[in-house]
Amino acid sequence: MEEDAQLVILALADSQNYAKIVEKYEKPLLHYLLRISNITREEGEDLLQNIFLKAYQNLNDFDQSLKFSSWIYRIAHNEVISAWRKRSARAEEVNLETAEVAQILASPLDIPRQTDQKFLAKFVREILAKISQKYREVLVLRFLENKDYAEISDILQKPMGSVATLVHRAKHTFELAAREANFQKFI
Amino acid sequence: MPNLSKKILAKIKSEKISPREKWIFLVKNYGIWILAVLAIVLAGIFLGNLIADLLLAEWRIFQRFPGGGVRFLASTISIFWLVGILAAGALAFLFLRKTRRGYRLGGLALSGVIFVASLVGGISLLSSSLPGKFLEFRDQHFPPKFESQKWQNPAAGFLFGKIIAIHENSILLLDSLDGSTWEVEFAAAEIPDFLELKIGEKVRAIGEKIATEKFRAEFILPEKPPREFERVRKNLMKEILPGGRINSRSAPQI
Repeated sequence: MEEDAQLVILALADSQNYAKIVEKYEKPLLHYLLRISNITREEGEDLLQNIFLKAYQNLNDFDQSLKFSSWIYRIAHNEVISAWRKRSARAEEVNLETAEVAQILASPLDIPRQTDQKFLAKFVREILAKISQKYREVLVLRFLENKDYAEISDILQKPMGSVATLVHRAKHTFELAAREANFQKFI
Repeated sequence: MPNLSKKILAKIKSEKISPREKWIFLVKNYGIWILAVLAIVLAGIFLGNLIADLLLAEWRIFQRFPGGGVRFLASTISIFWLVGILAAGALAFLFLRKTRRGYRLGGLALSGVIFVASLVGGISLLSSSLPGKFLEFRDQHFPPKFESQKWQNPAAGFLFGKIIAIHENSILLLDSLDGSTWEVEFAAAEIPDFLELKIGEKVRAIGEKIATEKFRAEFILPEKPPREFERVRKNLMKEILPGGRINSRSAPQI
């Protein structure tokens, strides 16, 4: 955290130093964008560029009592919401890169361990695409980005109690959607 | 994305993008706080006035008020104060939510904080002589609505009129609004200690009609509800603040 604060000070002193922040966060942010939205990688990179430019313009507004990662994830979250509102509806598909991730999200469903991970990932992807954006995002932040409740609260700008409720509801919604989709056919 | 940082730096350079000045954010953040505090102060003023109105209400006749208790509350609680409290409270809520950490408190907790802050503000206001002066000004320019016709209904137990005679401290002769003269028994009636019964005084009576133009009073009240804010405030502050931090010089002895 201190290191990030130092990077911010350096970037404010000389824009060339901003490259270090971009290099540090471009990959995690791109993964986050792809995980929570239905955009292509190219669209994600464009969005990422906007996010970094916006963050640069607002560097003086960075609250040092927050984690820099929470601050920049918040900007990313707001940009995704804004982009999402502008876009016309299209069939949604979210990106899940690892089978491990699918395993985490599918764990309440008691899916046998020997289940084909590829099928499981496909199944989780389909279910995530079905649930609402707010539930999908909170699941991604909690289980894929491994953020704690305080960080999620800072990113989504919601009270911690609401975040805990949201995570609980999101898991429940995911589970219901999975059962409705008859997950046995994927096993 | 090997070139993302280069692309961003090139764009920053070509479009001459620079971080916004710190003072812009400071002004914005402090501005939101100032607006939030002002909204809370405003809510406190409205709440203080509402409390003052409630304190001045004639609670002793709550259940005997023409039209009943609901009517009593409707005539006591000003919609203006209520709307003011809600509007200022909503503004305070919105502004506090916009502060940097405003999102950390839930809606209920934030509403609670605003209510308590407004209440503290409102009671602090009551502890000063300001509301008294304000009420005096308000009564002078916007007198409270007094529907004397509602008090001209002896069959329902309400009588309004001017005293034209007093007999043996037990019978009043009242000239009522419709021109008739009523004999009012008041020996057993409750009369506020500040009300002096004298000829020419207009009074309200609550009780029952016992015969044609004869009335037995349970309450004799002044023409209009009293506006003795200082007296009420003094009593209230004695109860709220042990040791009474009230300035007794400003409170007339009634």
